[in-house]
Amino acid sequence: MSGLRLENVGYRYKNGDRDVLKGVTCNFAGGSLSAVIGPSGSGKTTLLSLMAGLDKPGEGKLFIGDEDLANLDLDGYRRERVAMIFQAYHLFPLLTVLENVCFPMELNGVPLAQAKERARELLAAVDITEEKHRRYPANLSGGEQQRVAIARALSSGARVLLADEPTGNLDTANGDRVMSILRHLAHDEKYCIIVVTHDLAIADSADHTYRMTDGVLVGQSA
Amino acid sequence: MAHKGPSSSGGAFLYSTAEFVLDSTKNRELPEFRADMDLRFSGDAGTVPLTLLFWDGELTGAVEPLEKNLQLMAVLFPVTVAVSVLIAAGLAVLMVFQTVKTAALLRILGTTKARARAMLCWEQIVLCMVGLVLGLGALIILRQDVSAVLAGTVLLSAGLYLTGVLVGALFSSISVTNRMPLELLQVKE
Repeated sequence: MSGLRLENVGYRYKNGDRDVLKGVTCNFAGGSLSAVIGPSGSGKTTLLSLMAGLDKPGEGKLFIGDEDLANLDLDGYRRERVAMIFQAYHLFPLLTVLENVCFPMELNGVPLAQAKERARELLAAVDITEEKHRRYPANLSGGEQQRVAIARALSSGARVLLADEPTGNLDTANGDRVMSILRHLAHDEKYCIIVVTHDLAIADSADHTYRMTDGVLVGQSA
Repeated sequence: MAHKGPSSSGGAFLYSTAEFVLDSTKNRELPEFRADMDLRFSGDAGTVPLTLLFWDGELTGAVEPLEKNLQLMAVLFPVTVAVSVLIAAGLAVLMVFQTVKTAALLRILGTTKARARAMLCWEQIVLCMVGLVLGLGALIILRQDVSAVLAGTVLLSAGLYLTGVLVGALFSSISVTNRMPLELLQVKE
């Protein structure tokens, strides 16, 4: 099971006068859903950036499984090993639902026919009916767009899924539905799911909750 | 040039009347022609004093403003081209900045910076090429001459416009892909 491990990770922005992350050590295991909560400016986004391979830590190390991220091609890491979903879904507006899900596979060089077949399977798994595959994102509800975003995230084959406020734009029913998909992926499919959220209900329902305060991970609970 | 009543005097031809027939397509050359004629008749080449009168006032009145317009346009043309190149570059910058979220998403999905920049630039170049083809098509229709698009100034202007788009797209795509993708995609509370 592929998980993410952080060892004494620190980060300071260029020209910054304070440490955004200080000595963050944590193990996000595969097969579990973890929540990271904390106030704005506490360092959650920076932590996500580092875990997503969008930046490198100033201090410490990150590991995916047993591999040090410092030794990996970070573009390749983002294409194949880690995926993200967002509060505002961020699907490509000019691509259809099916094309959106195919896109990461095309980046990985998967033939189009094979990509489409896999995309249809993933869309079915998140309850997006065939009839909606040719629609554009703007013609879907928020809940549907987020489920398409989950399908797109899974399409790359990544086993680590980072979710930034995934239910922030959804009503309770759709939010619960998205969270139940994420729980299913963690518990039954053994994905490593890390959710950054302000929603304490999500934090309470996670397997592990971590609180971020002033760049330090505190108050870990299981 | 025609002449009337020539008579011979010691081997030289003498003219009592000279009629000039001007080619209307050479109206613009009238000042030069007049200067040439004045020069030719200014000396004492003939044995009879000769006065050269030009009744060209109406023609000069029509041609001179056109000449001035052409001179003004010759000055304004490079300025117009320079302004259009600046506008092309500015528009490309604005359009790339409008796709900032798409660029951030491409980076998050694992597209390299170089490829993301190439994609953003290519989009602008394709749009510019479509615009140029439409513009050149309009020129052919207006001039009713296909060869009009092959004129050096037209091709130079089109090339400079394309260069402006390329420079603007390149500059802005580098700027956009250097920003932190997650910050661009987060919902502002």
